[in-house]
Amino acid sequence: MAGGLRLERVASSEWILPREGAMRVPGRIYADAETIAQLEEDVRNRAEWNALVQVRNVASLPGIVDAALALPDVHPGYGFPIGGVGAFDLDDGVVAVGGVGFDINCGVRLLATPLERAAVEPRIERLGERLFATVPAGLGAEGRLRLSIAEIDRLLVEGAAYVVERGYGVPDDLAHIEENGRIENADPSVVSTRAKQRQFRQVGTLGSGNHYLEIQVVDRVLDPEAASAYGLSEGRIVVSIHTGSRALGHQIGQDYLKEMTEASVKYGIPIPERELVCAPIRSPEGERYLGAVACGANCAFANRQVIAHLVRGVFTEVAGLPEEAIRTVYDIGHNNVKVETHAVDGAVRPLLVHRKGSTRAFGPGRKESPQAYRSVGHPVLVGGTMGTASYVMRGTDRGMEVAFGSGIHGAGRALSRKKAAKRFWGETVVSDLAAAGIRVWAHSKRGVAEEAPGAYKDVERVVGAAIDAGINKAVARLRPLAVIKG
Amino acid sequence: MPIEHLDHTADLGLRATGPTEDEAFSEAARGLFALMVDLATVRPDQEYAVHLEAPTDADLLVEWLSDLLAQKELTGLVFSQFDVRIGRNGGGLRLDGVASGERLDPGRHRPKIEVKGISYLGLSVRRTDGGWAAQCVLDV
Repeated sequence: MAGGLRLERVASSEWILPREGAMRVPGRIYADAETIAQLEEDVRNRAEWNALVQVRNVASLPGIVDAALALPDVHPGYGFPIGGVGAFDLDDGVVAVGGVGFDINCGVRLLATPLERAAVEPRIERLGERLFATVPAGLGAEGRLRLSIAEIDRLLVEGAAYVVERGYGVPDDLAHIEENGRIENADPSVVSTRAKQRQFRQVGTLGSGNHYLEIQVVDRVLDPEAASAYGLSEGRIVVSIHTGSRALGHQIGQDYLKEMTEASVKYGIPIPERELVCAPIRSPEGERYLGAVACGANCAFANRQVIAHLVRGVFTEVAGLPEEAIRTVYDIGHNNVKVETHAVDGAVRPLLVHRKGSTRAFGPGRKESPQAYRSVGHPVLVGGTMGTASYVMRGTDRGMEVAFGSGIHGAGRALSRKKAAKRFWGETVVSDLAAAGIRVWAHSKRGVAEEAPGAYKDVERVVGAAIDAGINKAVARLRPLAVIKG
Repeated sequence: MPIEHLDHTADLGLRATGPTEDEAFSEAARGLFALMVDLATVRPDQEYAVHLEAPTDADLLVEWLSDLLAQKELTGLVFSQFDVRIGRNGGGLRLDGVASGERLDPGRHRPKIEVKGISYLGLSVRRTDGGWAAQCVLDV
């Protein structure tokens, strides 16, 4: 195979990219054979962008610990592959902008209603219409919450708690958000004024692309113990919100790509691909970036919190539910970097864990999980496609040992946006989904075509590989009933 | 074809060409906004002046496109026409440009997708047989 990228299969859903050349550790990929065949074909075809080369590049960064990981939804990203995980030693390691991306802490919030499917079916059209009208989405949409620079600074430090204090949500929400909706080391002084100004009209907006808001039904419970802990039962209506840190996060990413380019030169770090520009964790540049990423992450938590509030308002209006009747099951990001403790070779130590298109998936017993979920581990929220299913999963003891407690984040794209837009027609996608009982409201027909279910891998295959590899366990399958797209 | 959108599984690649570097940069900006709106519907009524410096041609492309992207939220404008002048400035480069457009009108401009950022992946600005080519991958 070209460039020495020869994979060794060590289990049915586990492959090793042996250490060679500049690699400091091996690559380890958890995926099914079909995904691996696609990755190998990309290498054979010398595809301009391919995920195996990206795994090799991440494995070559200074201070990386154990292995550069890719999870079953792996596909080419920029710098890190999507579905990539890289953990670094705090003293010798680096922090890389490409390990987080532009949409810092993009993630999913899952809300549970007390309603059963039969009670919602007659109102689904009205609920969809009202959500589409109420939650700002699509290019140029503006949120209703307008904040001054001083208020933005508080939001960046306090995260979801800041908007809850202003009436967007209930205090119980905070206990059910990763890191309680607030990452501690946020430093607004290292976020540019431009980033803050771009956010003025964007708090509480969904965005476009793969972001969505869905009313879903719990279609199957696969792990009764965990489902019971999470309060999920078959037939229950839930709502998923998939969005991130909006323009503020995008600008932080753009600003720090530039700053890290200079830092890479200053510290003499060899960069295999320019998108992997980085700085030592314990350097002024590294610390500044981590302070900025925490701000972006807190902005994303607050953004999903405001949208959750808007969703509750629609359910109050259409279904007469009081605000507190809709519970936050969990909120978790899938583009982030933060310090966590992990056992490596028998010793527990702090590491800086990058997850690009992958989630934290801590197994049973970790103190970071909400008390009510601690015995089973916190929920892992896996976004599917408009036409198939999403999953609630959880972490495992094995995932803690071999994957730094990480989980899959979605089905993973199979077709590029260009190919999808060529192959699918937005209006046909909407009518096909309607025939399958899934109603879609979208601001952009082209966006719908790019996000057509056929543009993604089969989510069942991706979930199956994560289960087979032992890193995640399925708790419940969610089927969409109404989809709101930007 | 002066603008070509390229295949990248997660995101979108953009390759713009022109007889001069100035024109390749103008086409790259048109390619960026063509992903977001129907360019033919955007009237060039308001002008936004851009002055940027960067150490290399490739860095200048990222600066140019990311500045325009930021202006979309800062001013509410979307752009359809671009006039670019690139000059050498000591060891680096300087861009003076004007972007013309109007406030986003979702009813008329047929909004498509939002672009989050201009990545360094596949980034290149180079001379070709016929002139110049500017290429980058956009995160959408």
